[in-house]
Amino acid sequence: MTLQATAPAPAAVRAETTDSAPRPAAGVAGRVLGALAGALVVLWAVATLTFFLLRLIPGDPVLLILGTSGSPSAAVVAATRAAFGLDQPVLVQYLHFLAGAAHGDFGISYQLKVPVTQVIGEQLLATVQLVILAVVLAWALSLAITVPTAGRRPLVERTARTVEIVLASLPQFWIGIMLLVVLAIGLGWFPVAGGDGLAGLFLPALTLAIPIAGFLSQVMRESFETALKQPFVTSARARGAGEARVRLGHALRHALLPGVTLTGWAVGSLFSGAVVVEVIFARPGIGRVLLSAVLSRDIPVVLGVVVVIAAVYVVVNAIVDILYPIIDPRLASR
Amino acid sequence: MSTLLHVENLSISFPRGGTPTAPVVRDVSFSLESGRALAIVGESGSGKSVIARSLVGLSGDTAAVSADRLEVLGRDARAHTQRDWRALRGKDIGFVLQDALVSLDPLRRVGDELEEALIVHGVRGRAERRARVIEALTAAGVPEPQLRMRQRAGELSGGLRQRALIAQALVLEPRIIIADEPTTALDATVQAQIIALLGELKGRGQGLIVISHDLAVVSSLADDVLVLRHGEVVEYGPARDVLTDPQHPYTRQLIDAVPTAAAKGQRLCGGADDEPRPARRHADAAGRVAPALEARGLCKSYRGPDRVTRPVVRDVSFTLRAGTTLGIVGESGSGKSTTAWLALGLTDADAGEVLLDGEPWSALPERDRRGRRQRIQVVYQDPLSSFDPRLSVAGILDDAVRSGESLPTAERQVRVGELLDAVGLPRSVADRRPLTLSGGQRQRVAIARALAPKPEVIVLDEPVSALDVSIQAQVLDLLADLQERFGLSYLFISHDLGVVYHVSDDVIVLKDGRIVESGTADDIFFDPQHDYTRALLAAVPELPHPAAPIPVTR
Repeated sequence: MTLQATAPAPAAVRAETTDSAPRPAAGVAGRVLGALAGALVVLWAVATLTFFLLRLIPGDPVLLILGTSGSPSAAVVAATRAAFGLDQPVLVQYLHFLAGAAHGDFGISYQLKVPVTQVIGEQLLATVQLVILAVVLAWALSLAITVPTAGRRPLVERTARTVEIVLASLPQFWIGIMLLVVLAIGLGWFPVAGGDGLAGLFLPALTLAIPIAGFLSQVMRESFETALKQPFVTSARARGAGEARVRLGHALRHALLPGVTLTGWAVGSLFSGAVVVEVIFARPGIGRVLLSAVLSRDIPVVLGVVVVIAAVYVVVNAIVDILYPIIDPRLASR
Repeated sequence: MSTLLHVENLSISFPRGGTPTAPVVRDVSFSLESGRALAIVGESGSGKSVIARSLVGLSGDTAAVSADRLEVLGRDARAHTQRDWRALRGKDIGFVLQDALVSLDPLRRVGDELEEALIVHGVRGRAERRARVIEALTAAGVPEPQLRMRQRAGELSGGLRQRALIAQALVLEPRIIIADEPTTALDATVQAQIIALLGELKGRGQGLIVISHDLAVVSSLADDVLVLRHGEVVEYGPARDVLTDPQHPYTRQLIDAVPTAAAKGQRLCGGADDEPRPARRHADAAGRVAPALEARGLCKSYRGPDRVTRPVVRDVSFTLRAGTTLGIVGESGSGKSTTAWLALGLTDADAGEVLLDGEPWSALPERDRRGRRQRIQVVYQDPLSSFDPRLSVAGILDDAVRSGESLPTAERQVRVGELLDAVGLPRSVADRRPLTLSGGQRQRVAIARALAPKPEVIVLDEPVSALDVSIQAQVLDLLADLQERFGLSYLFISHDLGVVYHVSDDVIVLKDGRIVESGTADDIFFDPQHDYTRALLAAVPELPHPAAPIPVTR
């Protein structure tokens, strides 16, 4: 009884003394660990789902591995089945796949007969370069459209909005072909196909960037205009701040959050969606790997690419989460 | 003493697409001397903020500003370009807006906001700028300026935030300071501090323009008062004269609308014959035995985002006698609203209980409470956000009537009409949406909605805090009429002591979730026992009112 009577007292004291104390460091470590665990669960779920979905594809994978030329003998089929572990029950195959994936081993490609990691590794860098440049270009384009025009006279405003809608709704294959025809074939500013370094990268990246720039501008314009109407902008102007300072120093930061959120989504989808551009510009890349793997039912490669793309999503979202409180410090305390 | 501002026949309109429209401000003239304060007083929409912005060239692209004279520091400003204005803003004219939470960039540190004024006006050297930022914060009475300059507006209390906002206008020591509703969102004690701070600036020889809808706030500060109505000057002269001997009926009306001790138990708006009549009977002891609402030992804690549990309401007990008004006074964070939620049974108490009409209320499971919910209703400070924006006024009221009893459609329509009559709204309002109504009309709709299920108790949570004084007076009169007519009991929550004294029979004073004092309204206001109550009362701004021989505080 006495214990019960005295128990609340320390709690009350604690509540008062820790009122404004900073969050303990353990909290941050806990959050990082939590985020990592969450990421692993996502990767596992994606891998598992894809693994079992691919089982639903009709046809014997062994025949795919051996190719269609001639009719292989029963002994060859049995030997191949055993070599790829396909004679095991599905559950054993699944566990085998998980164990391998945990070590970064996704098995051997049915078509190319080389390790999946090698197939992906050779193509990954090209796609990463393409996506990074595409994101940079998308941001540059959309800032160039939004920052000078948001909250201006109706005519300027309406023109900019129309431009955004047009950019967002252009199909990528059309943009790609047009850029190729005009800038590469017509004007000869860029190599038509392949090409090394930035020159070869620019047109494909721009093709990917244009629709994303349209979407980005739309979401950022919204927040930008809201911010421009806020009293703190009036305060800044009343302090003597000019238009450029008001837009770049105050309003822009408020428009960044939705832009960053959209970018997180865009990066992930660019990885798998880059295939159109890679085909048009005859570039290597993970999109093409995925396309040919799906067409030829190269299950280990499909699985590997899907897991890599899921990992990209996870990493990009983690970066977005880290950026949020840097842009808006109010989010840090939550 | 020198003339800082001289304005003659200032008119401002906002023409649409080349076609001229009626001016929002018409032929306004005034001047400001150094070391003096001019108050521009008027209700929302009177054009006072538009005038303030025109004095710093921030009326906007669409505004057409004309004047016979518009002199800033002796120079004709009528032909000023934005570049000319930018040179003046911050350096010669400091501008302070109303709510610092939204008037300082919530993403930036307070120090950076102050420093920006120095940067744009070409003050070189980071160390030099930092020193001046700290100096300005200190001058504005911000303690620990080195710490505060690294924080953001959202991390500061309301009072500190407003001081920081004033500091950002002071940092270049401008000779003119314009403050647009500088205290409106603040608690009484903080409001008094900010007014004192503005008074100090005046003492240092700076010229001050204070824009406000509240005559009482400006009365202690202003040397001159300009009363504005529909964009035109109603009265302009020395503060003493305007406030104690108003020449225009509108000024008189504004002064009368401020609830003061003298006006208790009387109408604030005056009747048709302008004869004061008792607005409300005093509670009769011969009424029902059971109190309308009773709270016993209520406690409530919330866990903050940092997982620390903080008590918000601690051992609060009160009795609301049937047919009377119990006022709950306290500053922001004192637990007023949580107490209201507990009384309404919208949140469960950690300890203690609430009895409604002598029967268990808070102790019941929600299932059993629901059938009796119509007996206790609520009116919020901001009615707009409590309305479904898709519904018309009739729809809102119909919904509320249905929650009370099931009636056929025709009868419900009749009832909606009666409710509109009861709150003094024309029936034509029924088809409109709340968004198209004025603040006062919205609050009337909210009151009608509370009345719809025929309640016994109405919880009024800051019901008039967002309204202009004259509208506030009308709503307070309406509440008094309804109480008399329907025998309602009110739990009236407010941070405004004048209002609480005016409406309440009994009062409890809350501080940090505890009741520090309770008693009859007269006891609390004329014989306060607790230091905190005395501090609250001392902070109430007062009008030098010739018809108020009994000041509230002494």
